[in-house]
Amino acid sequence: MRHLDVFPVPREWLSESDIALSETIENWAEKEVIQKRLSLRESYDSLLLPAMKSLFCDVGLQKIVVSEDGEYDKAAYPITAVLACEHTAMADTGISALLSNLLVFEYLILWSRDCGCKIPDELLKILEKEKPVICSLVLPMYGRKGQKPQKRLNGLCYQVEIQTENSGFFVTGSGVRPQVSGHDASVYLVLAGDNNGEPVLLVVPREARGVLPGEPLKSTGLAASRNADVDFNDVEIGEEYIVARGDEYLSHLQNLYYATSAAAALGAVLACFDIHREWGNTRVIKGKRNIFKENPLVASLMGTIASRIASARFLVYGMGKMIADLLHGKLPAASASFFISAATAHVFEIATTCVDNMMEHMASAGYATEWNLERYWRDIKTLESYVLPGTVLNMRAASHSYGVKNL
Amino acid sequence: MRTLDDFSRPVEYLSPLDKYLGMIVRDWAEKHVIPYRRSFDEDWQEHELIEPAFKRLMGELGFQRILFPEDLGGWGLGHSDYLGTGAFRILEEVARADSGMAVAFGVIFWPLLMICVEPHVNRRLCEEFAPMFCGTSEPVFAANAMTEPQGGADIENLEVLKGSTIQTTARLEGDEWVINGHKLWPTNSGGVARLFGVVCTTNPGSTDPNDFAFIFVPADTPGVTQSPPYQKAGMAADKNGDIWLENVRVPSWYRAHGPGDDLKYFKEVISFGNMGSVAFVCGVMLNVYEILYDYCSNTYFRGKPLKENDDVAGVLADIASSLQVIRLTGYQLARMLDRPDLYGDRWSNEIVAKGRAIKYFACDRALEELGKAVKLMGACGSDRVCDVEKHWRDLKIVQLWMGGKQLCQMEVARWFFDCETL
Repeated sequence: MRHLDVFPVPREWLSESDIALSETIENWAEKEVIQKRLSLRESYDSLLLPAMKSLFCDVGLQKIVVSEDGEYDKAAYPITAVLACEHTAMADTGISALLSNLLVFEYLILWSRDCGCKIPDELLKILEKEKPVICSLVLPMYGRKGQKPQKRLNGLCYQVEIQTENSGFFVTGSGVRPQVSGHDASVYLVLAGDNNGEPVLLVVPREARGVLPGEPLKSTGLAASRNADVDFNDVEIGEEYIVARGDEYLSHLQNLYYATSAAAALGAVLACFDIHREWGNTRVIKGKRNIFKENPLVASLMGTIASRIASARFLVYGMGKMIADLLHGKLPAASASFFISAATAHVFEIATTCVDNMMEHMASAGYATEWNLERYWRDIKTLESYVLPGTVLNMRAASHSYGVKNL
Repeated sequence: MRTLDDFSRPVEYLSPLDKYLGMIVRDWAEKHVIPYRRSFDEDWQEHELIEPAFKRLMGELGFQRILFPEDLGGWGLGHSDYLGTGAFRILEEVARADSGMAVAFGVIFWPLLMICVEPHVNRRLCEEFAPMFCGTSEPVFAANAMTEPQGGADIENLEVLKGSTIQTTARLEGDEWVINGHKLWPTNSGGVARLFGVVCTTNPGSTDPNDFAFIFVPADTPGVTQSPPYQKAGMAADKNGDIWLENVRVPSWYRAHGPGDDLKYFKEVISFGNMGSVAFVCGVMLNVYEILYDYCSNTYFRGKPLKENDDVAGVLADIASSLQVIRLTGYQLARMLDRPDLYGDRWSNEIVAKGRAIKYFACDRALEELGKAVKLMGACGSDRVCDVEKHWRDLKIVQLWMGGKQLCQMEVARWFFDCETL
């Protein structure tokens, strides 16, 4: 497992299969991404899509829950998920962001088995195909004038509504902005509001009539995620596509999404650490054959960066462990959700600060595509802006810790 | 309704031409840059979209002539008392539209400062190069070739290293300089510039200020070769690449001033670089303010406009406060360059250090605020449709150049705390 000696996590939290998976992903990263990216840059068709296929289908990360005959240990899943996202991001943060969405989808399948919910067979079958499944989460966001804010969503608005008409279910939403890959999604995992504003978690297949993805948006980073606004024009879905209703699912989905997204940000910073460390070993400062890292001012900032990365890694795996404990009933759900959202915000703050500082050390080289640092810098910022918009997390933290009730 | 013009400037010492120069550049930006800038990233190699806007500003409107004396076809800003504040306004307005364009435009004047500005005008070189810039309506670029592969910012670390790390050599043979060396990253390299100001040494390894040489080299001189531009995180309008100089011969009088004075006046280039950087920061932040104003008025949270939420308003206030302070401080720095009789020589260690202090403060603060703006806007913040992410990407390199933050810190500490060994 990469950097376990430098930035440790409690070994007992990791299974042997986790360690094996980390090595498999490291091999994939080297062969499918790192060796090719100097020439292929951020090409979606030539580099990123084939790499995704290799990771999701050949390594099998989209089959974690379908290949175990329903016997997969749900409590082992969160740690495996954060490890997978962290190691994937060391190669490509965008692919890791897509993996994060996919793992949330798979987690939902695991969850549904316990609750007696039934995921449609056709959705399970697409996970077994030799084609990468791109799952695109659709979450609440800021609204437009006239849209009703939801108190349970801390004032955000549903982007999508679901209506019941004549025993059918119709999904509507205009200019909906998913978390990733709106343009290429195989399935949309949507948190919608029903007639009463209650949350409904549902799955909308890309092929459903009335689903209209727009052209890919130009974005700062995450090249593997060709995001686009999507219209859901009275998309009719069967009842079996409604996975869950109520707040409980909402927090489980959110917990894993936050933890895996934070893991992706952490993986990106660890990749930057490798680049920065090499830079510090090979450059001179003040022209006197002084190795860059041996300068006290440089070393001081390097020490700060390393300390921050160490704490971020502990937080990320701590989130995985906490979700697992939550499943065992060892923790109150509200406490776990608070910790996970707070830790996610902290990890992103660390990630953005660390990569900023590394770029400052590397100066123009950090800014040039050739050194690859700048792509992680763009990726982390993009991921942060999607995962943690605005000030909502602060309100949640205040609600939990200070008992704020009306925000 | 408030606008970007409500952020304060010290009106009592602005140039009489400030209003008109500002209006002309703002009109140019609205018509020729802002409608197209979202596609500049894909235009980083060819400049098919970027070039026409440069042609309009520099060639047709004539802004590339501003430093040269009037009798040579220029606008005479080189002997004006408003060189700093006038340049600040122009660069701020260009950067509001695109800071990459502001950099490429501003750097034209870097090498020309050495010869066009009082009290050290080199009339012969002005006459030599004025036709190149003043006799055409086509855009003509210049570049300062400083940074080298082996030591990066060490070239700019003049006070301590005194040019001792410079590897590009200039050897006098008869009435010609013979120059050999390799430069990296100059703005307007990558095949753009027609004229280079090259930082050289006449005695490798020497710390004698007399051995520092600043020599002009037309880009088409035999022996000069350039790489294609590097691909970068942003700043598509600013091309950077390698320059190789192999037995390049130029007349001996192409040296800006001569032993001692080249190094002395080169520090003035650093001072103007600091001031220009702050102007770029201001321009970017002014446009981010405009974008945020619109976004936060028309996006709703908790059932009311985003800006009407107390917690969001707190973030907006931070951004506005930083802009207010940076803009006032930036104009004050420009004023200090305009009035050496009050504040000291532009090439003095004091002015260089104070400029470094303001530059790195402005960059750090602005990047922090832009980071907040991107985060506040959520998905829209990182999509190009809102342009904030472009400013965030572009501005980062303003913080990194000219030796980066660490060199700024050293120069500031050295001057204010009388450090002797840094």
